[in-house]
Amino acid sequence: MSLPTATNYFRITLLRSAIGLPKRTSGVLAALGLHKRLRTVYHPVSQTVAGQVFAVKELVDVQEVVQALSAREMRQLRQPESGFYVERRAGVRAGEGEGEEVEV
Amino acid sequence: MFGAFRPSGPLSGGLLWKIPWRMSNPQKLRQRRRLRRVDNIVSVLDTALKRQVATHPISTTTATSSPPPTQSESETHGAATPAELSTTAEGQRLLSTTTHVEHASRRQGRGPKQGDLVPGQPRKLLSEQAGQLGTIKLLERWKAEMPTEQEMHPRDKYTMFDRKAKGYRKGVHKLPKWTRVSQRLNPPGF
Repeated sequence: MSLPTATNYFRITLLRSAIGLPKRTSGVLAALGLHKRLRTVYHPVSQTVAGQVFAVKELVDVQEVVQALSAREMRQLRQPESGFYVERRAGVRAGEGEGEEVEV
Repeated sequence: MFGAFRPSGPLSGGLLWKIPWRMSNPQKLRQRRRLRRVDNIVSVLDTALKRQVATHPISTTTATSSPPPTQSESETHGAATPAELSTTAEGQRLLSTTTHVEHASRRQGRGPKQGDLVPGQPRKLLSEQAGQLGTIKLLERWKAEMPTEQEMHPRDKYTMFDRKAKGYRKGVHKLPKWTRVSQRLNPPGF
């Protein structure tokens, strides 16, 4: 794997909750943006973020990735294919509009 | 015996929430996997920081690390010059903190904590050295002191020191939040 020149990101997912742990731990999770289980956040690789992840390393899963996805992009990746495509819309004449949306 | 209550074990004076004194094999399997998961996370953080240092030399990343202990007189706090700063009390406080503080005087003269000094090098704080190298002190201490799951004796994986127990050991599953806390080290000899 070649060394990328741009900054890498940590892909951090909360797997275990901090219920019953000292308030400092849930404070670190809040600082990372992890408020619910199984939520994923992206943070650029830095000493600060690495220290935060180290503080909650028993609760969290970390990967190093090249690209950071936003919440909207992550949601779109989760969406399944709709299973249909629109041939023709009512009230739209043939040739008008943006045409068919053909999905495999 | 007493009306609607059946004479069950707990109601006859037994313990309701019984915890076995030893872990089962599936419990031990999950504990090993948890230890390996933490080892994996530590290695991910380590390689990520090393790659960060390799691609971005440390001279360009000093802004993200902890504030340097010494600052030259030409550096300014924001847009204020030292002459302007010395006119206010807040400015004088800022100016005084820029001078290098001996680590012996931190912690009110008690000196740095055990583990804060780099072994072999006299009077150098591990946190400062780690900041300059682009790593973090916590990671360096963990790698130096904590064993990985492969290096651990099974007795350390499944039991922990207890001064009240008969063999000075008790099951690690009796530690509160044991699945979310790292417990790997025990006093030597126990």
